[in-house]
Amino acid sequence: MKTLVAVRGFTAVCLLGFFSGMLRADKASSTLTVDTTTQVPVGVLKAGTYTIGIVDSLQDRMVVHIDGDSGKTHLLFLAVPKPAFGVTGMHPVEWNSSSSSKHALRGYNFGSQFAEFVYPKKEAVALANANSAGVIAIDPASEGRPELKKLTSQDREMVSLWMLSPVQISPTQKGISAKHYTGEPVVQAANTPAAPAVATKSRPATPGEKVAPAPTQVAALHVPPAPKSYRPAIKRLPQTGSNLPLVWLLGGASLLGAATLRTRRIFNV
Amino acid sequence: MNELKKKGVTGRVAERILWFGALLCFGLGSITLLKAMQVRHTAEQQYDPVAKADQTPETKHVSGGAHIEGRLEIQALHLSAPILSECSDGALRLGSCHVKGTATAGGLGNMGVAGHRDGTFRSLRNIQHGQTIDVFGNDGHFQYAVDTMTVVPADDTSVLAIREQPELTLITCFPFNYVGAAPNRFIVHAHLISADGGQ
Repeated sequence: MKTLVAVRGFTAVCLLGFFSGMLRADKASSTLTVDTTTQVPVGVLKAGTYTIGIVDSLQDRMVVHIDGDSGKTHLLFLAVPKPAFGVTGMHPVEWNSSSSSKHALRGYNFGSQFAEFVYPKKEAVALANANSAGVIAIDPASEGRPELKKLTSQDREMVSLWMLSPVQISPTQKGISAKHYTGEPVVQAANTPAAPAVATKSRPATPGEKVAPAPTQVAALHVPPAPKSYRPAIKRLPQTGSNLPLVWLLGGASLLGAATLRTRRIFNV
Repeated sequence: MNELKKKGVTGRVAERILWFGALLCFGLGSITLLKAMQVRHTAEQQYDPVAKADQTPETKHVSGGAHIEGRLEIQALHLSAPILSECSDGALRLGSCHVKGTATAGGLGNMGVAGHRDGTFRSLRNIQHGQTIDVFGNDGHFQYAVDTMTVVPADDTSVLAIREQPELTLITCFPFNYVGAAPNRFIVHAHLISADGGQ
């Protein structure tokens, strides 16, 4: 009996230690220093030192925070997990050329994991054009959600991610193609150090969404979740039959009737 | 003699009622048509393809709370229609309407636009795969290419779900020659060619 109690106690302590470790990793933050005015998804950072960290992590996305400027700056935005970009370690990664004269951050390397920032559509189009590269974007307004700064935690979990990439539409015209972003299958090399332990939560399903079967677990393979299918909260499609033809028909019939009566009266039929 | 006189009076009254009815119907129809033409003209001026992108059109209510928020053009069908901000009966009489909760012009989602089968979207029955639909909105000019045409029941809202790429979904009643509230909807799906509105 004593042994059973001891085993239970040991298990509880282990679990507590495991979850608190995950929580620490989840809230882990790093220092971000910018030398000049720099664009991030929900605003612009003035030159200075900030703290950056991952607030929350889901299957296909993470919520990143940037704090600083003596508490004046508190930015929350989405990023997607990717394998480490360039040199491993904790450091920001910039876009080569941003849409304006401002610098723009592409993401942040958290050790062996890279968090690529998700930009609002307008900024993402400009960045994709300027860098000739794919930029991950969101457009909350297109799903009936509030503007970027007013997104709730649930909105951040549910909003669709899109990959905007420059394409050649015709021999003379360039454009930006948009595709639903569902993550990239990432196979981690055996000698690459593991990404920081971050607690992952599964995203709740939308009312109209088909829940995909659980993906088969393959060693070190990140399987992207199924695409979401948001639909507006309406019960029926709009009624699009006009009563105008009926009005014209009634008018015509009345005219014909009146003309018949007049003719009969004139000719005294 | 009296009966004949009575018959004559009744005939005259009936004739006058019919004349009045005809005048009323043609008057109402003409006013609606004229107003629709005026709204279309305003939309064509506000969302001119050669207008500068940074000029935001003024918001002017045209029917109840509905205002013009864009313009839709299908050159192959000679169709040009204003896009109004809500799908009320009054708004649908004047043009097409933006289904609430769907993406805006060029937005990353599925933009739903509905129109009357016997009015704005009359020519939609002749639409063909691959034809181009131009949508002018506050964020610029976007082009969509027609992918599919389907007929669905009126309660099938899955046609407005977000798919693999940004889309435009045109909705009108079906059958086209049905008298009264048609049971089905004719759906045109088109995909966004470029998310860059500055083209």
